[in-house]
Amino acid sequence: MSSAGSAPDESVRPRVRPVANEGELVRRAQLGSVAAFEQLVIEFGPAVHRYLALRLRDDGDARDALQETLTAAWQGLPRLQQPAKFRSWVLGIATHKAADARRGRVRTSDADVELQGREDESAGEIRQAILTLPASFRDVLLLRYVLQLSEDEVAEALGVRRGTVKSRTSRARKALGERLR
Amino acid sequence: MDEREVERLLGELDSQTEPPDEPELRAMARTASGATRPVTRAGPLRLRWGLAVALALLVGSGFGFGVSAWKTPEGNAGTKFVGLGFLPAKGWTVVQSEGAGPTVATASAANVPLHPDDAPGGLPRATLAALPQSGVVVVGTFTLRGNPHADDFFPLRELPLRFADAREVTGFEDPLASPRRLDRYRLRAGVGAYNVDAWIYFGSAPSAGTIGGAQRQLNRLLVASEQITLAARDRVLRRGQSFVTVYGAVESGKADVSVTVEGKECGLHASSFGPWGSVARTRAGGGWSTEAPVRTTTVFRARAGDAVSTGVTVYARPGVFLQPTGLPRQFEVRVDAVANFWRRRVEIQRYDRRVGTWVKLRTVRLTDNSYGESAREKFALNVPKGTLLRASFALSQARPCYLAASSNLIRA
Repeated sequence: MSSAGSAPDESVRPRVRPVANEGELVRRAQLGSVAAFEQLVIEFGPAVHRYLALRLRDDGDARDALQETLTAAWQGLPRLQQPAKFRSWVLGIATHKAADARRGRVRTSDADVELQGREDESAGEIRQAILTLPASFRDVLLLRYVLQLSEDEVAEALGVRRGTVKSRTSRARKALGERLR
Repeated sequence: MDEREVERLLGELDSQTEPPDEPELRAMARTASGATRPVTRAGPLRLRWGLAVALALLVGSGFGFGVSAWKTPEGNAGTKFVGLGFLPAKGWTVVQSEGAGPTVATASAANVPLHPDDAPGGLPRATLAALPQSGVVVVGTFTLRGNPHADDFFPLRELPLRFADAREVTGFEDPLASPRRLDRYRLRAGVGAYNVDAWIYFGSAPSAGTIGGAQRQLNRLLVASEQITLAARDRVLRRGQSFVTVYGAVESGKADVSVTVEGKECGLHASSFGPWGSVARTRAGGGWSTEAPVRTTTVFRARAGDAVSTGVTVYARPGVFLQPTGLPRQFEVRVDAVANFWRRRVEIQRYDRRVGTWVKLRTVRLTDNSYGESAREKFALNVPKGTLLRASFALSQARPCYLAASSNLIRA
């Protein structure tokens, strides 16, 4: 213990150290470092935004949901037990925020989901097919195949068991195949 | 459809939108970090500092104005004057005071007598409620530049401020929420080391005469400061927090000036200021911000060349933890801090639901300090199962380098 009576020593003074990895960034952000949190957001924000944009189909909504996700992440960070699982944890928050955003807005009409002209036909079909899937199927497909999360990470993000992810993935693939047929 | 095909199809799917770029992501992160974290129980391996509750005055003692009213000859104000606030134009009355929290000062100026119901230093609500048709009131608040959350809203401007730069605002945006319908304008400006937020109220639709009067009063706005300023985003650390954002500005407004944050920890081992945390560089407009680590109550100041800011104290609380040992009726209390709390006393309390208060059960003396930066003690407690317990570390035991603290809550 640094006792109150020890001699002056520059070395005992804490310094802001350069951070090496995600775990260290998360740990520092948990301790209140805004700079570390910014680095985490720069690292993982685009992926979260991609998920939200695909899920919500509206850039404004996606950005709003991203902001809400980041705010919830900042507030909840001290409770994150495993810093290495930050990515799946923050995507889990994003799935809830996306669900909240969809609940909070007027049901999307057919006209709203018309795809923009620059999109090619096949991508449009896939997107349309995904839109018609139940939310649980859509989440698992987006996280698993668009964001390339492992089954374990998807399970952590969605708060379900790995077996549930596997079965949902299988059923979602089947449902998607039927709609694209 | 097999897995590979789904993977291929979905992998090609783009979101059709541009992802936020780095500056936008940084802004989002800063906005998010402005949210208050709820108080949570800290895990056993985390660093622990305290729970925030107190507020203290920010800066201001050096500016030398309390509550005062001045009557002086007419003339334009400039940064050669010392102080913040208004010099009254002819026929105007001004009142200014130190602010609290992030507001360094507030100042009001009116071309009518201020209403006696308005508290000195407070916002002139009663004056506005009774403002005659020809009345004009200017209310200014001054905050330190350097906080990236706020600076974007305050464009850099030169003195004297121009009424033409003000924009008309609705009563909905007005924090004063006057009961009367008033014409109001808002003028925000970054001047020197301060952000100035000026609200101009008119008793009726502004005429050339009343606008001219408001401009003459704006001409007499004083914004003169220290050469460099420093403020801390949190004055008392929250539980689990060990960094604090410090920010400020250099009066020159120059960019890329090197600012060194210096700190002095409470305790005998740190009798003088020394470099603390990373070196910051000023942005356009002179604002700067950085993070500084905090372990115990620490005084911070900023230095740029020979200019040194006023010191700002950031207070810390020790981490206090109460947990069962696993043996029947056996508990352990632990106080984590860089100070030596050996033989200090911790009060064990139970929650009395009938009266809604914490009641002392016993006092425990911390005799085990063999674990580095913590002092701890095991003790027995015979209480009914389910009793809500906590440990309380009083200010008398924690001072001089920490504030009082309470532990996590557990059930017996």
